[in-house]
Amino acid sequence: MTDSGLTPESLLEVEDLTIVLRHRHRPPATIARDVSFHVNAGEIVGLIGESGSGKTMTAKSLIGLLPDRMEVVSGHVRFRGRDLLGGEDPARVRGRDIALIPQDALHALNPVKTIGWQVGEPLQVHGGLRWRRIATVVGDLLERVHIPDAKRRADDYPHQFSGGMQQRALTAMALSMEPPLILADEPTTALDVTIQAEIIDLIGELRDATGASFLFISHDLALVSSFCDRIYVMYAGEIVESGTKDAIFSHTRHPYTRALIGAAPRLAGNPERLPTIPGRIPRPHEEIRGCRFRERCPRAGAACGEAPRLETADGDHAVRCWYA
Amino acid sequence: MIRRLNWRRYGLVAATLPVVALVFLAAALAPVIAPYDPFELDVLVMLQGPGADHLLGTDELGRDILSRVIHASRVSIVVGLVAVAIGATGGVLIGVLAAHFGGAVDSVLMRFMEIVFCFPAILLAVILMANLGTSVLNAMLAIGIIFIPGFARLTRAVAQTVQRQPFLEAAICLGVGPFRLVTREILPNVIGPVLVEAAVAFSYAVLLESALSFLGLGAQPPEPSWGNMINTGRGFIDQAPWISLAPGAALFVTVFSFNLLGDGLRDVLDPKLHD
Repeated sequence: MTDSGLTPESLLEVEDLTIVLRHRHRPPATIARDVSFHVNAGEIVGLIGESGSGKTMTAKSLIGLLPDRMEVVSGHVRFRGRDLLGGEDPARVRGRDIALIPQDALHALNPVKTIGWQVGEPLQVHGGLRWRRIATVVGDLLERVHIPDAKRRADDYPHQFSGGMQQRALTAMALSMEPPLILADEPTTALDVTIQAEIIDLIGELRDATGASFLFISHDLALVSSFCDRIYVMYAGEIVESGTKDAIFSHTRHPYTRALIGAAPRLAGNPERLPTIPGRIPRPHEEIRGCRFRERCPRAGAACGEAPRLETADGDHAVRCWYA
Repeated sequence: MIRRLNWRRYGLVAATLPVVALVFLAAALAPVIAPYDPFELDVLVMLQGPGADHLLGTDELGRDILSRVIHASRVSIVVGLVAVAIGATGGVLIGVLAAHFGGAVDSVLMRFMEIVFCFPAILLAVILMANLGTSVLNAMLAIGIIFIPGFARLTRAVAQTVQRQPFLEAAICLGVGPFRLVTREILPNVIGPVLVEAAVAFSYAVLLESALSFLGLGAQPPEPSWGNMINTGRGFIDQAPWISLAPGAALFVTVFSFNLLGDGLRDVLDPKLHD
């Protein structure tokens, strides 16, 4: 386990990143607001939030893949000292420096190309290796993600793979250029629970073997809790709490994080109904004064009319709440 | 890797490919395998029925019908290939452009394609031929132009569904550039349906060429073509039906086997039908 305090080498630093969605008739809506986080070398960092909290767009902005009308309006992204938003062509970063494991494994693979071809494609694009050499590397990659009988299965088409194996193949694709940072966008959402656990184990194992860092995006706090070093909790485009895994779980400060932990199913206790968070996440274009979680918050008080800042409580642990 | 032949998947292709190969072979080797010169007149044996000397009989000028049928296959094959090549190239290009750019480009291109689509194919061919002049070359061009909208529509439909697929974004994420994205990721998804369409279009082109020649717009006599042979035979249909029957049969077999080949190719090219 890499403790963030022991390896201060920062691989990725995101500072005050603000993403807006431009709209023809309405003022622009804020998708992410002043998001700051960092990923150290060899670290697995979780980015957690409900659907619509802006976590995926935050990740996509790092490699310049925001949808048409979205735009980064302020902030800095530094990757190994390079400024990713400062004019550098994001296409040069993709695959080689930062790779992405997409969400929907079946549809993220081209149905008419063999698995081996697709895993080898980044090598063809970036590497200029001979085909025979690529085939060997592809075999090794597939073995590394535990595809049984890897050399032979490389000739299979995606539909001949099970969901878990497709996700493994995508992971192998992301690994092919040995990028120092891999963004995993809900890589386990479409899988059943036992397969989820296998993918999670695989990611931990790959981190240990290759030293790559992972930014793991998920809505499932319980899942992330098992293997992330540090966790950022996002709500409605803002980071509301961040800290080490232990800080987030054992010393939860923000009411939203607390509600998320409470909403996770547990074996012990077995309540009749799982607790839910009342209300819904505010839409990006909704004008909200004060704390964005106020309307759903059990602890909301008078102070919440004014927006709280993300304050560092102790050490690495930061929280955006007046009452924390 | 050697696998046992999967008949459900390859059966149709395996059955029709030899026929298609035979037609192509006949066209390629026509001067070698044809027993007589297709232009050689022999008034002594005119309108002779099928027999030992002339396997399929002779026509009103005493020319050997088998030789003429074999030579005529060259016109049909060349017209079919060139017309399909023109149609597929133009159609795939227009379809991919329309799908890729969308919006106004898509509307203009596809509305224009629909205008072309509105005319009955044979009528459009006749109009084009009337303007371009009657020759085999112009027949290819006319038939090719007629095929463009079909290929364009098909390509656009496939490319549009492909473009929405997350695997394109996944490829972009791994650093695949725009040109490679179209050629290596989108086009391979389009090629299967286009190839199936091409096989069917080929048989249709052969049919259209024969129709045009039948109407006197395609290959000009004495150049043999199945269409103009059938037309010539029309006048002798009760005395010498073989003059029309022989090229008619050749036309039927060719068109039929290409249609079946198209069906068979669909089974082979769809990786999802793979066991």
